[in-house]
Amino acid sequence: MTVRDLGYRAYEGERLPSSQNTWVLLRYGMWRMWGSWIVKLTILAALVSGLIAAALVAATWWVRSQTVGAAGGELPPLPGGEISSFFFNIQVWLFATVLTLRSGAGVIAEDFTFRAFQFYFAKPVTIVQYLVGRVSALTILLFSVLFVPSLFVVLPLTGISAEEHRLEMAGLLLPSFFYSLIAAVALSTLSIGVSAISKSRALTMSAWIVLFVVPHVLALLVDAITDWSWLYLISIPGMLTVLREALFKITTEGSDVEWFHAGPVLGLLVAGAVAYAWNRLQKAEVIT
Amino acid sequence: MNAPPGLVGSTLAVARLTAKRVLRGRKLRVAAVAAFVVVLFPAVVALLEDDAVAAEVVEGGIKWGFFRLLVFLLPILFASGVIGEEVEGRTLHFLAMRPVSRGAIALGKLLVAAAASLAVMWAALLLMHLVSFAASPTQMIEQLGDTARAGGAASLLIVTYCGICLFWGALVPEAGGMVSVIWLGFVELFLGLMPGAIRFASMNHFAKELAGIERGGFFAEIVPDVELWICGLVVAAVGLLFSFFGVLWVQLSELRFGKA
Amino acid sequence: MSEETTEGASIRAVRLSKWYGKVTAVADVSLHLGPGIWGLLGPNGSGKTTFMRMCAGQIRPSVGKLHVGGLPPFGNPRVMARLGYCPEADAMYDELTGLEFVSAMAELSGFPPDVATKRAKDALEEFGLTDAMNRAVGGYSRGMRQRAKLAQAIVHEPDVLLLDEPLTGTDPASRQQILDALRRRAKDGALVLFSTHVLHEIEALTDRLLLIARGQVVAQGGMQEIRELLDEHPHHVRVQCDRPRDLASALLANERGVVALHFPAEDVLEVHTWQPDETYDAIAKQVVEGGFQLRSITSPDATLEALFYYLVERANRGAGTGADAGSGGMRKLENKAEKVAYEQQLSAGGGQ
Repeated sequence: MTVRDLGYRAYEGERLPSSQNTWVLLRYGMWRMWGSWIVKLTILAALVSGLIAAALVAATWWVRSQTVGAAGGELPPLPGGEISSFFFNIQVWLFATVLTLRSGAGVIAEDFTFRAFQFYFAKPVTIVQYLVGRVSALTILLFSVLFVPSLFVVLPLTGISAEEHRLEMAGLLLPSFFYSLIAAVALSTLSIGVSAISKSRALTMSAWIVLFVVPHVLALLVDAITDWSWLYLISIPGMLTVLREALFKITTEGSDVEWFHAGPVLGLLVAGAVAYAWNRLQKAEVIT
Repeated sequence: MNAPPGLVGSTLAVARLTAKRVLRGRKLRVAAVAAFVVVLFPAVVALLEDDAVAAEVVEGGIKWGFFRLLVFLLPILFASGVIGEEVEGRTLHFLAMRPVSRGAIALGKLLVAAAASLAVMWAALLLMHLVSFAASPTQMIEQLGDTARAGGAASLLIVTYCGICLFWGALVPEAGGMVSVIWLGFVELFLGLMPGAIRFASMNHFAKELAGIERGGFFAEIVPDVELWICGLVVAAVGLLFSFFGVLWVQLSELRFGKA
Repeated sequence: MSEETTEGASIRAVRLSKWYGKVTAVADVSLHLGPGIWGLLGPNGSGKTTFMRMCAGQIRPSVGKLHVGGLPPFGNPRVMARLGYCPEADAMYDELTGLEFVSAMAELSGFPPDVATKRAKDALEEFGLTDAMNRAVGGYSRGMRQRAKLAQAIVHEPDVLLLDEPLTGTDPASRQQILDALRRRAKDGALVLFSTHVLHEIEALTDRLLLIARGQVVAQGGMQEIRELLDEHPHHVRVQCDRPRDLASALLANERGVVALHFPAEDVLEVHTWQPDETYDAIAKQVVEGGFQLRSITSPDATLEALFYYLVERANRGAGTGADAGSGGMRKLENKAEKVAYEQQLSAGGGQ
């Protein structure tokens, strides 16, 4: 008796090309992230922080208009670039770190631990598709958490500015967009790359905290004592700060590190993380 | 059949078991590397510069490397996962089915986490002190008091943070590390930089006062002064409170055994 | 009995239930188990592990009473002192050696370090792990890990042993070693509750069973007592011959006890009957008279498996559940009407 005698019929409908796998992984990756209450709470907190920042901008403008306006002087524009940059710095430290810890720094280790690769690689899913799916899901999440709240800052800044400064303030949207994109891609790729270093989720998450924080504190320390700022090139948040300040056209006195130093180094790190994760996945046995 | 061990005996037995695991695990190595890196650079800078710089380097190293980094990192590494890792690894059964109270399990693990954190912190602190003042033995002796004072304050803070991490790790075993990072990052670090009395929410602020470290952050000049003994008392009380509730939660909770 | 009064090795549950949100893991179980080996049988997800964990004091009952050795077990060191538990999960402290692991467990049971080490060595030896005891547990095979888990369960000589699927991953030799160790303890007066969904493991060890399905105890008692239940549901007789359909016609024409006929394969006839003795006689008679080439006559009911699935199926239908099922006695098919209903269900689902 064959399976066909039992009523089995082969599926004859449409089959999607294997390039769809990335979309499937991305969709399910996002769905899994959204299932975590920590992720929901972080997104909510990020949005609330945007609203608080907007309220602070409005309050500052009101105080200045009361004092300067009462004196009869012309109200100077608020330093929109500096405000946005400061806001992004807080967003990265408070929310991007949490999201990368929760949804980035443990994902590959978790798949190792729970032997989930057989679900992926026993199907026609390539390592590249797996990685792109994983990274892009986290990138979209991080981008949303960075860019959307920044609108709460830029739009009020534009609204309260004098007519002649409005275009300049609205122009902050462009660096905000690019910075959110760069930070989202870099942080998601690096954290997922770190998640491949071990099968222990606790260890990969700890390693991510160490990599994110230790070099930065070290760079701050050395900079504070010796004014030697090149150590920021080993600090992920340090390099992001350099790029952000370049995008928002902020000049930091005493710093020798420029965007054309930080950009390539960060790019190399990102490429290294991808290559490392790819190599680890290639060596992983599907059935363990 | 043997009589169940007392609280001290069972706490020490859990501590011995946990200590063996910590010594053979990778977290200790990660912590040691992080601490070594934090100490290495400032110490090298101090060695290369003149004697006057050495004291400045140690002061900066303590402020940035210890009070803004290691006091957070070490408890997160050693204490936040003590319950969650056992639940996730499905090994908590082996401890919870022994004739020891669950409180003793939590207490034994807290002891080891605090001891490991303190050991790494003190090793790093002494190393930095020795290397920084290697070229100036007189200064090494003179500055030892300041370093010890900072070390004492950092120790108190680390024990408190271990209690906080244990509490969150017991309350949310599946995400103890995450919640601890969020709590320490927001309440302890972020609020610790805020102006006025908001800073009093942060034990980091009180510990830095104890250590005699110059205030930083936003509008530090409008932060009210508090007697040093009150600072110490507040940090210790908060640590005890979190530890107590963490231990209590472990004692009373099913700790997701149903799912484990 | 007072809550603080201890008694011999026993597990006593009164209307015990445990649920997680809307999911009921254990429902209204009442039972009393005394010394000896008890087999806890049930399919995956039937509530065996939850019941074990409640007995081991790892989780609290949602409602009902549970006493182990006369005391409520949750977080109770006095109960834990006399309780050994081998969890189902293949999880251990991989950094420790086998000796360190079992010694630590003995220390936590109140033995001084030197005594604990001695006891750990003995326990590991009992399960054939002497040669491997100084190796890290992380390097053990599945079977060795299972034996190390068993060693930690018995290292403090408990009189109540709760073993959740203890034979998983073990080879036949180790299996025999484990079964012997359990028999020895039962002989010394311990209560050994042994869960599995592999029936022959139980058959090799004990004749006292506890059958659990959908969180309810569907039967409890001695093997013989439970086997008698076979008389309460239609027997199956499987005949392998050259012309099964002709044999079926002949049986239907002459045998009144036959209630259903199946043809699971081209040369196999399966007869469901209320009168097995008469049916066996009738088959023999027809074979001789009809000149059938008979290859085999067997009964799937001869194994515990059949009974198990019969009872589980009955529990799934909602019959015989609740306190009546788990009160220590047998729940039998009460009357002819129930037998007929069961028979009709069999026929409807049998795909004749």
